[in-house]
Amino acid sequence: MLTTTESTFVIEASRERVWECLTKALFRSIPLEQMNFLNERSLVAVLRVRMSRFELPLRVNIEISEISEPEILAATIKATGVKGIIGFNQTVRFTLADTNEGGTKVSARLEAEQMSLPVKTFLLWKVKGFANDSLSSVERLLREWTVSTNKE
Amino acid sequence: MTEIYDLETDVVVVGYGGAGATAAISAHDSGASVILLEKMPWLGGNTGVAGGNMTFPKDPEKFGEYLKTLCFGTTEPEIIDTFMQGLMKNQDWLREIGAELRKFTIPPASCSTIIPDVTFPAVLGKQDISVYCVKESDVATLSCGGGRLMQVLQNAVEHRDIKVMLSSPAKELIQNEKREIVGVIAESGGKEISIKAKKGVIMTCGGFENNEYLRRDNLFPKIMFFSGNPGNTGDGIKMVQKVGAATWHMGTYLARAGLKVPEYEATFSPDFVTPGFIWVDKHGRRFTNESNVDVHLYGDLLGEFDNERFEYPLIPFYAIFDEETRRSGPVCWLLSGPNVVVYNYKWSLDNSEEIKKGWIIRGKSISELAKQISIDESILENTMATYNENCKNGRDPDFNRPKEMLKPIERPPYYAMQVWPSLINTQGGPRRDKESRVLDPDGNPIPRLYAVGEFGSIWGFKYQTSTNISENLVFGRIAGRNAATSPPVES
Repeated sequence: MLTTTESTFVIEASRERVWECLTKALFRSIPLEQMNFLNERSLVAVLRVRMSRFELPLRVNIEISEISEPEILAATIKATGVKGIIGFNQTVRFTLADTNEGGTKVSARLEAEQMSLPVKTFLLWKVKGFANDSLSSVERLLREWTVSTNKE
Repeated sequence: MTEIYDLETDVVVVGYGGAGATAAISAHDSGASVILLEKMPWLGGNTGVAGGNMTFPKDPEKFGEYLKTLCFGTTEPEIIDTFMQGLMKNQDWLREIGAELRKFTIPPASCSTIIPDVTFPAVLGKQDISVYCVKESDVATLSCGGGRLMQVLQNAVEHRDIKVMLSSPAKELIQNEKREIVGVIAESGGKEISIKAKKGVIMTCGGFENNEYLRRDNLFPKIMFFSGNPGNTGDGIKMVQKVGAATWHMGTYLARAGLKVPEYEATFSPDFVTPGFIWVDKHGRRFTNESNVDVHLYGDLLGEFDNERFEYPLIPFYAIFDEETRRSGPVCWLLSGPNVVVYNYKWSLDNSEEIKKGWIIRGKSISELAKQISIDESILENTMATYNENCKNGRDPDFNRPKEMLKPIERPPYYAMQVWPSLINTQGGPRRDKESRVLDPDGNPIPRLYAVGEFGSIWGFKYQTSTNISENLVFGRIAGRNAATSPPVES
């Protein structure tokens, strides 16, 4: 594994409610454009990565590789750009479990499996940053979206 | 009629969709020779352009009772019991003919409400069923789930000695003096042909969604387009009425939201990959929680008629979205429907082509957009301001759209799509019994005449998602077997 990002947090909402929001949070956390479903489990899209003054458009293929409602959601994310010179593959896996207090423990693990040489050499920090940002954003959105439901 | 026929077979199946293919396979496997007629130049019917999902209940007894409740007395309980028995065998039968199956899941990021679950949880608990579809494989390659199912069925038909005749619409049923149906008059290759059916005729010719007269005469609301197979013009209804069949369920249908464009008969289905959109009525006001309308049930939502104004206030309505949503992806569902599956329309990924064509209307500001769609500017501006404020507050007090579905629409330019109720299918057609036999007004079977599928579907009131294709498979097998095992008609 080239790089792994992990995060575990508790959401004060039922597992069903967290599950309801999870894919939406994941897709909202990755700033995709031109999303196009290939079937109901996979899509291709464009991801624009900002590099100081430049913007690097990457072709992204996202496939839901495992889905076990409302427990496990795993997806593979393959990104390529600049005629294949730039590229990386990641898998993201979320596991949901009930807590004793009626909340949901979310364990997220994002692994970068393959990277092209330029990415490995010059852009590893960017990939790590992308992973951290994505998982933080998922956590933030899940907290934001589930809080009012609890109150209601 | 003298007994001179152009063709002769044991069983004629009219319509090569999911029901017709199943009936033909079943009749063949029960020992009959089969001719399969299809009016269109392509096969598949509505199944071929549908999502292609099927139902499997966790508790068959409970699910049977649920379906009886949904039928509201419009279908005999014994028919539902027969359906349930067959339903439990559907997966095995599909595997026998070469299908691999997998669970259906909601597409990631889609904002359409496709519920792979119980449609009416007030009647039956959530997750009491599972919804499955044909898995992608060497045989089933299409993105469209219904298309994959048809690929498997087509493969099974082609591996059997079943004569398939495309572009061959049936025109009339041939009835003898004993009221038996003994053949079909069809058109093929530009001429009329007669086909003798020694054992029976199975009608699987779909609904009447592409027949404006039948639509207006039978359905509410009166203004609807269709998103299913353009070949479904209800031809079979006249044919069976002429031989004495009763009809049923003529007012029952499924409709989604549809974008009608002049270039295509069927509508496109608006869909969004991000929640940055709202629906507004033709006066510019929101009218529902846009994220909570089952895609099959738009008819129920849009059918309200304002007697004072003498208009349908929600027909047409408009989808309103902004530049960010426009760039996010196609604002159209591209995994089913004839325009994408049959005619292979490639919707542009950033919607730019559809804006150029005028299918999507663009305005630099909300007020400019309002003018273009003839809506009062102040009303639409007020609607947008309220919605965006609700997004900021994370609450939609007007329609309870959930928080995760609240995304502001505030990045110009703005866009609108005119949307209509659009029939996925109609369920009306000849009344039938649990043996798939077509009945006359007294409830007596018309000998040797069978019906399957949307052509007189068993669903007469509310529809549980994924049961139309399930029904095709159950009663297709029954009709095929019953026709094939009948004694041949006496000359």
